[in-house]
Amino acid sequence: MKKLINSPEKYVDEALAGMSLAHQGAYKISGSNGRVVERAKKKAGGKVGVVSGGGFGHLPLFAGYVGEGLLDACAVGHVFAGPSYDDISESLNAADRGGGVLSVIANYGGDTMVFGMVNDTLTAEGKDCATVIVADDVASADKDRAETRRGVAGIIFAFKVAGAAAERGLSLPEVKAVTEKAMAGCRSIGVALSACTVPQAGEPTFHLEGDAIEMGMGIHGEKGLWRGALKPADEIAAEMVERLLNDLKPVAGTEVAVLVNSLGATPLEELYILYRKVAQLLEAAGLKIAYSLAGEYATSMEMAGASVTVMQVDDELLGLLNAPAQCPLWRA
Amino acid sequence: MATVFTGTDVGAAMRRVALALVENKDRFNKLDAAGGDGDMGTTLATVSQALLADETLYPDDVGESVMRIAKTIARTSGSSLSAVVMTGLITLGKTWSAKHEVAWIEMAPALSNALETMQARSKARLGDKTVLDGIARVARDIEGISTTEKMRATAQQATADALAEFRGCPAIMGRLRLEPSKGVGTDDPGMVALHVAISAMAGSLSDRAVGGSNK
Repeated sequence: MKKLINSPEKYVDEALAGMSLAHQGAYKISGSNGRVVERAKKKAGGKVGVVSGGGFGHLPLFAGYVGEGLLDACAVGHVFAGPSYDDISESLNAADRGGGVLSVIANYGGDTMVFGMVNDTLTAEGKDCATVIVADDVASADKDRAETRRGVAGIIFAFKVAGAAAERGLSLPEVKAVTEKAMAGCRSIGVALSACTVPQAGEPTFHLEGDAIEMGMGIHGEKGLWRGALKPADEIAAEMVERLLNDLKPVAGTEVAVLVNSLGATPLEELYILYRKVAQLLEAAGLKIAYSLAGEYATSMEMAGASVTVMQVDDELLGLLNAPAQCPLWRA
Repeated sequence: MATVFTGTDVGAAMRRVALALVENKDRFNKLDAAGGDGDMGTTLATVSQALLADETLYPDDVGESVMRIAKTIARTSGSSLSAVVMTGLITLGKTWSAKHEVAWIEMAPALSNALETMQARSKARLGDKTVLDGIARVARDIEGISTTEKMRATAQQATADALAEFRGCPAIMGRLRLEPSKGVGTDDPGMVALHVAISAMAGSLSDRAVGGSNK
């Protein structure tokens, strides 16, 4: 294992400490375990708090998106392992400014269960809590079991929509509804070129020998759709877009938001090569790209590869995507 | 012949379980790697070490002792297995709140009740080849048992029987749900952890003593 670390056990805590120091005035690290990231500046009273949480190792996802117009607080787990009940509970309390709290989380067993427990407890105590579970990875289950799909890079759009809606003063049910509307039309798929190594394991999470790639692999190395030889970027883009559109089935003329995301090691140049073809294919399908992002948004440390996300948008969603956001790791 | 257990007994059993889970860390990681993150052993060891680090005596109040274990899990882990176990412990803790003794005969219905809450939280069905199938088998087999000695042997055998029963079944939950057939012929890591935990309580793992009451 060749990583710039001091010890695997300190990986998360030292990275969070550095993140806070590197972006002074943006992030505040709190919580009894030091695993809550909240905005350094107090939020406006009465607004809906937007919270997320998940395993570490995906920066800028999840904690990196704490900031104005995005998240209010985030619970941070160990690498690829969800945050504890206490971390989540403290995050929700940190985000609560009197308008209720919306948890926006990816569809992984531990996260959904523990967030569910915390939400149930806080609701019983009289807090207004709601949850949106993001399940956008078309490779992880067929459409008839879409609710079991993993949550991947599409959650970036969920954060942006929920955060902007909350900032505008919408109520908790309204913020939840518009975020759910966004996610109902959001699909993602990834392709992995090489593995990453979880510091505490010290070994790559999987092996892709020689020129092998895996289409549909999850951000923790979960099994994908097929494994085979590397193909030209245009062919990979074509398959990804085809799978997304076959699932989403947008009608011609629909406006879409697009995210081409690096899984960590794939450089911006390659993302742009991929984006170029994705854009051509979407336009050829009669879709209009109204909002686009390309870069590192949801990573798996040093994993090489990329994901493509397509989300249907209307005027309301587009307005929320384009609303201001202040956060060191957010790049529009 | 002992027919009841106390909160102090819960603490003693917890220590034996925690030691066994730490001891089996690498084994659990390896089992979990076949269809998951490969970190189940590390997670269980982390929680266990936190439990072992608390050296204050457990109270006689059974519910309070059980809740104390749940609170440590709440502080240290966010895994799906931890969430399921925490849910069950909270249910048991409420059931046995303010009770300084619980009769073993009450264990089966309490465990069945806890199992329902664990199913509701996890959305797992019985037969999905998860730790819940092991717990269900224990709850069924210990029904009507009222003594410590019989409880030990029956519960341990139940977890072994559950492993054997489900070894040939596909895995429906977790990451193997994407390729259920890959789970055929393998043991569910959560069910193995249950077997190790109950074996530790029963005293047949290594040279450890038994859990349960000394009364």
